[in-house]
Amino acid sequence: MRNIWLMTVFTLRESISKKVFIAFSIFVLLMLVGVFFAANLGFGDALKQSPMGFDKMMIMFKMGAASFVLSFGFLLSIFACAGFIPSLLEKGTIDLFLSKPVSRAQLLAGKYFGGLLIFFLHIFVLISGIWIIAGFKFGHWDISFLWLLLSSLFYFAILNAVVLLFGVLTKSSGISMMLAYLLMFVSPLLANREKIFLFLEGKETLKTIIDGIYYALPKLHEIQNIPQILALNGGKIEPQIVISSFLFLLVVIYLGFYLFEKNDY
Amino acid sequence: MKIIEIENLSKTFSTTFGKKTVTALNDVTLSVEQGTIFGLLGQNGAGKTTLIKVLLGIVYPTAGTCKMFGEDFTNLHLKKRIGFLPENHKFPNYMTGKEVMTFFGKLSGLENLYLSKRIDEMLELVQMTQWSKSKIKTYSKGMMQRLGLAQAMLNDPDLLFLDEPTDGVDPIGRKEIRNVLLALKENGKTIFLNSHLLSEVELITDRVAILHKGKIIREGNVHELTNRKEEYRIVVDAELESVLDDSLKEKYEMQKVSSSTYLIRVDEQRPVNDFVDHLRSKGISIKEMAQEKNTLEDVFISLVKAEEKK
Repeated sequence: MRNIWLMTVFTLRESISKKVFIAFSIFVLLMLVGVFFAANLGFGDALKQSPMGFDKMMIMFKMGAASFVLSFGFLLSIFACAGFIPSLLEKGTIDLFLSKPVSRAQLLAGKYFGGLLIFFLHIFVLISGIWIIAGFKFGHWDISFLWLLLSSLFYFAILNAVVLLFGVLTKSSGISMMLAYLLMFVSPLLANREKIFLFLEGKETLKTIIDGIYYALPKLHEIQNIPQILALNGGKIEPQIVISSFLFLLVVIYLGFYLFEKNDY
Repeated sequence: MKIIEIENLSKTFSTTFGKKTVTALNDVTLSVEQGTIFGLLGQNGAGKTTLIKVLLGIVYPTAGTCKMFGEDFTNLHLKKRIGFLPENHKFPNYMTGKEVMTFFGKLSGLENLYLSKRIDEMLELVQMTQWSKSKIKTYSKGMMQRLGLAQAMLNDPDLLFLDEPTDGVDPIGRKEIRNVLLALKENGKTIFLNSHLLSEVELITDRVAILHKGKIIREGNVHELTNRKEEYRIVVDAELESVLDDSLKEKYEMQKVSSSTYLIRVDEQRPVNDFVDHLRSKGISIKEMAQEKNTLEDVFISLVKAEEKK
């Protein structure tokens, strides 16, 4: 555990040195300032008079604000983390690390958790910030909003695993980043595949393939919506969303670790 | 005691999809005794770095066995007793020298109190104390080498692998590094040195192996390799051509180097003692006499050329 922690902190330090961490922090703080000003625009009364009810409107306001910022947060986080594995695998660096009494799995785990830690620190500030602003401003202290912390972390854990696998495989931060972004952008399309199927009348094979891709890939779009479902719809989530995404995460991480363990450097 | 034992070690690299293969190590067998400095010599691409990387578990062997400290080389805990300075190593350039040492020291399993003391000692030893708070990105190549060496010695290793340790270091710095290595040897440490600076290797190594295209083409101690047993340089106070008997001149091949210096070829049938006795009997005074030596570079070049011709 000590070695993993050392590598995690090392990764955090690496991130700060590359300034992306600071850019991400500034972005989060600016967004919080934006949310603060938005909350002071005086639409609290309007929310109270809404036919949907104050609670629901408040949840939607908070979720909307957080989701908007998070979508940029995911992009920035991937950008920040995509270079971690390729930088470890650089000639002259990997030799040093592998000559130490640290297993390859520990090195990689440290890098992976380092990425998660960077993301978590930011979303913790962001989500708890929004929660606190809404709490003090409108007296709305809905705990279910904090589910967003967990779901976002799960969402990013999957993307970070993809970045890890393709970092090990290609040693290229560009390719890792592109594939993670691709997964992010494909996910909403697959989640709404029923609408796409309307244009694919009679093309059953193609529909089956799209269905297959949907079930094989993580359900990022749905994961992002979990807190909203929990807060608004009384907690009905399809287990397959979480299970299949978690399995994807495990398989991708296992492949990344397996390849790192087997490769010559 | 043998610290490193390598038997029939081979390593073949395959390109993507295995279309092309490159044999980096071919049936290498060698051993390194405790408390010695072992030099592995070879041209670029001979397989020197690959051999070290195999021993450190950075590259996996295709065939063969390796033991370090009598144990299978894959045992992770062995690395606590090993130090390594890679060729062209890269430290995180946003860290200071001291931070790098602290990080790699912790990664080597050293405890804070001992580590702090040890870092100061090692930085002092490589004369980097005054730069310890400067960022790596401001370091010259020589400073990087010094820091790399300090990092490799941080855990007080019993076995030290050094890949081109004096690369980019100025002559004074090289001498200091040589002195450090000799002091380590005095303390019973074993050093495995990869270098193409043969004149330096010659100065400090006990044994060397010459690696050519992945194969060991010669191994032995430096003295054995560089001595030219059959040739002596002799300085006398006379012109030997006019003094020596014709029979003796025919028996011994002589080459005049200067007015009083000659190279004499000897062998079992023509022992050097007989020649010396003969000179004395003629009343010739021998001012100086020494066995001719090759430099390690001469040996290396002739061996590699001979291999190339095969």
